[in-house]
Amino acid sequence: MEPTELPAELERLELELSRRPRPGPSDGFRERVVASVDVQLRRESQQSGWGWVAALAAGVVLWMNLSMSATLATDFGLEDASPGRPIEELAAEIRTVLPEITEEEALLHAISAQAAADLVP
Amino acid sequence: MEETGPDPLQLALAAGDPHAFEVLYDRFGVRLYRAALGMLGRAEDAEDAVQDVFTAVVRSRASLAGVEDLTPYLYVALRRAVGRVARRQRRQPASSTEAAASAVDPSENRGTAGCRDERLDRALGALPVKQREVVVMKIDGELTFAQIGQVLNVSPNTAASRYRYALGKLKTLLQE
Repeated sequence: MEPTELPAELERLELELSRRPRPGPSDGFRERVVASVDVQLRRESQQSGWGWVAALAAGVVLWMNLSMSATLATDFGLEDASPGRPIEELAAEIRTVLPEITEEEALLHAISAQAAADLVP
Repeated sequence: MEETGPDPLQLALAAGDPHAFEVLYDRFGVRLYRAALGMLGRAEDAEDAVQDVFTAVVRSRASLAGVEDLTPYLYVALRRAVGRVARRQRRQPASSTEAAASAVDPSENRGTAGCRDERLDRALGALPVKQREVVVMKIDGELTFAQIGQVLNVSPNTAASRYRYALGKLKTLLQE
């Protein structure tokens, strides 16, 4: 006899078991399961959304940190524009490098360069 | 031989489509519930177990696309859920005849056939867990022996033998 074959009396019992009334879940159980699946899926998608925001924020902070370090490590050649130097002297120096700009423009550049020199540690 | 692609339902489940979970319930929900009821014996525990199965499926949905047969996958999850519910309730899974009887509405007047059905449920509840789960998976879960074998990690022949032995024991219990 094959393992899947049953003697006649056990076959009858099997039939009886499969025909016995088997209650189903309570009313509204399907809706409860579906609702809880929806909640779980929504929560997970929200969590993954926040995860993306957190990753972006971490990226921005890292970028700021790196650019700050790079800025501090870069020599912008602003040593000459020390606060002690007269603006007019600096403007004249700028005009020798860029003769096409007007005196007023050279003066503005000199003021900006000296202000930037104040920021360099 | 024609090669079949992955089940579209599994792909939709893996993608987290809420409608796919409704289809999953419609396809398996009642069978899972009845199998859980057969194992645990109490309606509310059976519902807890099925709810746990769906929670577990949502959590591990990404792996569903690669699952060959969804049926054994769900019954493996159901067995785990049944174990969890049984532990949570600090109760053996329906080892007493009382628990099995509680699945049947006692107020219902079911005549001679009803008495026989009640005796069947009681006898089923009195079977050892390993035998009961095979009967429950075959009769209430409508699984094949190959699928039961996959769930229990045994060969289909072992599952079939265990089933036959369980039916024999059930017959003896009914004669007592």
